[in-house]
Amino acid sequence: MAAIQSLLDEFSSLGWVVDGPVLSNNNPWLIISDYEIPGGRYSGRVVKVAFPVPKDWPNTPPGGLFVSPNIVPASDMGSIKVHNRRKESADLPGEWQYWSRPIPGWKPSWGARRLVSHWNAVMCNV
Amino acid sequence: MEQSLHDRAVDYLLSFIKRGIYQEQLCFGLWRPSTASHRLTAIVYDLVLPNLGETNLNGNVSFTPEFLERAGFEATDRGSGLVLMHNHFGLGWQGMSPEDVQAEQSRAAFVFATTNLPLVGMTLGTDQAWSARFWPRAGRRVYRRRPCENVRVVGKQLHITNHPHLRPPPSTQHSQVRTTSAWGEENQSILTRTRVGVVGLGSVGRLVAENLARIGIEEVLFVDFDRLAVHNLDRQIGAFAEDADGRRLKVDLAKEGFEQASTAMRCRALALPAAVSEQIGFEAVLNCDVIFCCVDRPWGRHVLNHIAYAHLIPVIEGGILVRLASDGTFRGADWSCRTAGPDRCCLVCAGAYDPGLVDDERRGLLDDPSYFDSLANSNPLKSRQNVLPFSMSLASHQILQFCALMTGLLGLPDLGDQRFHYNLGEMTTNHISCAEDCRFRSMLAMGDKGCDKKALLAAHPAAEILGSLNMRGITNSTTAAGD
Repeated sequence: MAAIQSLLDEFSSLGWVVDGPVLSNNNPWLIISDYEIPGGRYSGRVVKVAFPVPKDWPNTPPGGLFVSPNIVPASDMGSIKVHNRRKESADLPGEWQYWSRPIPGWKPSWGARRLVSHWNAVMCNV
Repeated sequence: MEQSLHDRAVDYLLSFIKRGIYQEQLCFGLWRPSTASHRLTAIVYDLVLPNLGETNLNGNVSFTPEFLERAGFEATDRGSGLVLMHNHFGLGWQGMSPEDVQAEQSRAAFVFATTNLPLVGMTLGTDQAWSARFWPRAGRRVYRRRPCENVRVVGKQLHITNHPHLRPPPSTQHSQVRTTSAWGEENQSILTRTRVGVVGLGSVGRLVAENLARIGIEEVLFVDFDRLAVHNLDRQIGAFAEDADGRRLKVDLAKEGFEQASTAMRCRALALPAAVSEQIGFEAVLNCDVIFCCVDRPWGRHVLNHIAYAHLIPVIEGGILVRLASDGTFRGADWSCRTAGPDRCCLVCAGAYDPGLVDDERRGLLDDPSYFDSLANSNPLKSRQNVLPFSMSLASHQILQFCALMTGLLGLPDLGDQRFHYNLGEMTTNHISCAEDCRFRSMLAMGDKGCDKKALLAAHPAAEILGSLNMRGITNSTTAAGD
């Protein structure tokens, strides 16, 4: 629970509204409801972003990010490298696509701000 | 204990003898538990020195009840155990005089009642060798001495003082004569009595095991949940087609090979078919004095990095990266190794693994082909290509790191962060340090308190695919890596 609270506090201090923790596939998740994609093919879309919280955050960060609704058409999922991981996201509300983009070179001293920067970069590069 | 704390203790306890005065000295220390499946280690992390008038010096040394009370309360306040440390004028592991026994035994009840942990007694010889014992509660008002099997001081070099009966020096074996004549009997005695863990029994781990057997290491623990497959046969020494057909556990093959190749008079190899990120694997490797990290994935490295700092067990890590062009032609290869632990750079700061991938492995994504496709081609996880000569070179350098760590041969206990570049045909060595804000350094000597095990460890998805613990042949006796 310490990891979840720490992440909740960090996101709150950055001005994000975060729901959770929500339990899905036996993992606690956090959901950000109003993430506006800053650039790239889906620029301007407002989506939900969710991720399972690693129990030892910030020593390890979340892997990729789950995005709802499904903004990538099925025909493009292979080329954009987006997956359905329905077992993991089964208990989250709505449909989710998994963008498997682990944050490279993570340093445990980094925090939620770096996570958001990473997501921004992922979206801008599509 | 860490080298820096040892140096402080030596400065204080041997302050008289260094001036030629035969006066004993004492102080208290604080310790935290590091709990393995079959070993309890007291990690001593701070000293409590006497104030004026709290000790009586008359050749021997004694202390006032007020000093004991003050130290006991400090231990309680810091959630720690208490160590009574004093010095003798002898060399090596020290026995106890009746007065020593009385001094410790009569305080054991107070210390246990105050700290809820047994009193630890430590004696320092003039050669800076420690001897130690626990005083656990054995019954109502009964506290019995349990000698420690060794005392480890961890810094650039790992100094181990072994109990002369619990871990006796080896007798020289004729089969080791060339080895012993190269680096001397004393170094051979140090190396052979080190309890070594090898995590990951792929091509590199298996070669490391073979080296350890030939050198004469007496006790080893092999940890790996994987089974041999046909595609391993081009790199796995001591493994044959029938082993692959039978999908034999790699740890079983390593154990057999170790026992066949061993030059030690007595050797004990234990095979644990588990991941080090599973609780059973984690608690087993904490029985070891040194650990070789021969895994190729981030979670195992992450757990071992934690162990190197929180539990003060040096970890000798290595990795191979083969680079291919987009058409599959060989572009080059690098292999690197280093030792993590106190006074050395951690595996994150050395770039040995990416913590950003640990959670993906925990969630089973690294065994999902579609996930692999989504990783950048430059990601080391995608580079599974390898050939035996690369593994042999890496295993050899990891063994040399081990020998340097244990013996400090030629005054070189730290060989640094070594990287061999095949393209250049040369090795580069750097002595790097952790970043100022490195979180692993903040875990130093924390022992069991270094983290929440539930956060660090979990059932490993890939290990579970290969079978439950029972199906992997794990029994209680399998994990008996300690005394």
